[in-house]
Amino acid sequence: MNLSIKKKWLLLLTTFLLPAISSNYGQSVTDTASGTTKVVFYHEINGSPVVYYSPQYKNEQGEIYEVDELQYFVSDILLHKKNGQTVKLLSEKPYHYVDNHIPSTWSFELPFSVPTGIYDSISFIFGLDSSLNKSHTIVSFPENVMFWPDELGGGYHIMKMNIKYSKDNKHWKIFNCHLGTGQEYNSSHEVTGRINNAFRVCLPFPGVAKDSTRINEIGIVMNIENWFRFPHQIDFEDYNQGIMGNQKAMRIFCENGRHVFSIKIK
Amino acid sequence: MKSSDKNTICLSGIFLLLLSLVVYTLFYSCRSEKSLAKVNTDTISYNPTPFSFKIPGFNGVLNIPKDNPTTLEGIKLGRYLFYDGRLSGNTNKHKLMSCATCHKQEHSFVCGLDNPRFKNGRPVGLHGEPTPTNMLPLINLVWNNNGYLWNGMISEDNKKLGSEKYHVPAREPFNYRNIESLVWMSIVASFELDGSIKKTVKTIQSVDMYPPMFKRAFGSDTVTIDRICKAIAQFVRSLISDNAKIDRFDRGEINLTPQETLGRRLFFSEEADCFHCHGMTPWYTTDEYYNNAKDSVYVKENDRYSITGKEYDKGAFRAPTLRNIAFTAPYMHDGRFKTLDQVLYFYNWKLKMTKYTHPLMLKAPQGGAHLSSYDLSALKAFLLTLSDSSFITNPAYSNPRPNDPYFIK
Repeated sequence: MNLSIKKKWLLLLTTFLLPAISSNYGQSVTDTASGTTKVVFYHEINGSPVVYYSPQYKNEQGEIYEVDELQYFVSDILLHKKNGQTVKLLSEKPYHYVDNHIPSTWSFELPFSVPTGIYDSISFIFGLDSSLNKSHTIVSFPENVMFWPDELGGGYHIMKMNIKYSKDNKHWKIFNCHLGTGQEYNSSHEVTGRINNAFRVCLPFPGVAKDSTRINEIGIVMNIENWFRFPHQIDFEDYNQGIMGNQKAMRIFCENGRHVFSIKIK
Repeated sequence: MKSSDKNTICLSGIFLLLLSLVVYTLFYSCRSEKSLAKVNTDTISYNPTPFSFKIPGFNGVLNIPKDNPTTLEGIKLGRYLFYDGRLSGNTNKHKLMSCATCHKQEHSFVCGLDNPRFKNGRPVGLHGEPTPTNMLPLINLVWNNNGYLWNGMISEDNKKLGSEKYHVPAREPFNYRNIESLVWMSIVASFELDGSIKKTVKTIQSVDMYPPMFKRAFGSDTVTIDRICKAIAQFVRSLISDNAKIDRFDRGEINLTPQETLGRRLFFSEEADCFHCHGMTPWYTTDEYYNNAKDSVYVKENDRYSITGKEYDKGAFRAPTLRNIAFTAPYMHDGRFKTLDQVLYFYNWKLKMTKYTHPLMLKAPQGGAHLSSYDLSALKAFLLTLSDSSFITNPAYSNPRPNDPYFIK
């Protein structure tokens, strides 16, 4: 008799309680999956996604070029509310690494959804902020390969953009736009100061449809051609022996860098 | 000399030869019988001591499979197996071969140009087949998180592992995608020990000293291929170099000479541009794969492309560590350069720019860095500061039984 009662209880449990639990669980997963906002990094040239290793682009100097590698850090990503408050987006790691060879680095998901009408812009540091930009603080591969030698100021590359270019489509040369810590020297070539060339980028949200309840995707677009176009026109030939020890050159590229990003909201 | 004297000498010689043959046979048969005897390991406790990896002042992500934590007992067993010629599954002294046959401590565990057994520093397997590529040193591999071998074939990311072509299982119960795989491959590959797993396990089980060691390392005296691979992998992970002149300089203990200081500046600048591939300290490699402009024509070989199938990986090979570079000739994946001077000359004058040349090879379009001979000498002087003689003489990495005829000298 007792056994029979136990069996009945078990039956009741399996009939009602378990489906209820699994239903709640499923509901919760669905909500999470559909309820978050993604931050996506796009890389474009002349408005189209860049085709890597393809010599189909031309700069203002008439040099044909291809982009082979693009790797960079962003840190301190903030969402800005209209009322002036900010929300930090990176919690697990204080930086995000983007690498054109590794698709998983091209985006990351926020742990919450971004509703429309509350936030009006996003900003981030292109590179690592000064508290992070210290040698040997990043230990995981492949981010650690972004190291910047101590002899050149230490810390990490802000960006490695590796390009092959040609003036005649026959003879190919290499231009590496590597940005990182700059150094100032005195007349005896002694280091007198270090400069973290990382810079903050602020991107206002464009108008969002009023009937939308949340933003699915915040797209941060790097318009690569602008690295070489504005305000400084770049001739690759001038820099093909490297710019890492050349603070003046890095400053020029960083000034251009402030004009390479735009945003698209979905 | 009379002919009877000659006969006497001849007969005595034959007698002595026969006697020595009998003694030799008896000696080895006794050993063999003895080693087949069952050893009682019941009284041996299993209480492994964790091994701690540390280089002062540096952090790094350790590449250790979860199912093979490193212990002192595991390292000790691995060291014995690394040097024991019976790893080949043979007890015949002419067929002994182990990891140490080719991996010589005095050469940072490559076979070296002066190896009497292998010509030009290129090892051959037990039956004469040459290895497909030059050797790589076994240094600080526990911090390598981007695959092993010249093309990164042994890697978490290589989903082809486990196929027949590779001879290395990567499925249950052997989910090897790490140094453990290299051990397995070494035992069965025709260009290495050219043996069989079954024979090796049986042979090692039959040696008296091993069951207790397996018990201490893994909690069981039963020899399995899984445990053999894991023990040797633990030993290989324990091979750490952190005491070269450059390490002592980085720790503030000594100064570099003016020539070495100049070489260091060149190394870490885009003038010589070595550091992008070799300058991640303290490893002196990024563990990434590059086409370093060696050849003007792409030849299909065991390159990174053969693993990834990506065009940009054509002709690309691992950037090896430059630690102990003075001890690890010959150089490049095919061992084409026999001296460090040849390597420096190549990077200074003989680079060949092709569509597959890695874009970090900034000096390739002009054929090389074009440093003066003064600067080149300074660069070489700096490279020599990466020599860690304490590594190649560390007793913990040496042959544990130098007087045992089964152990490889």
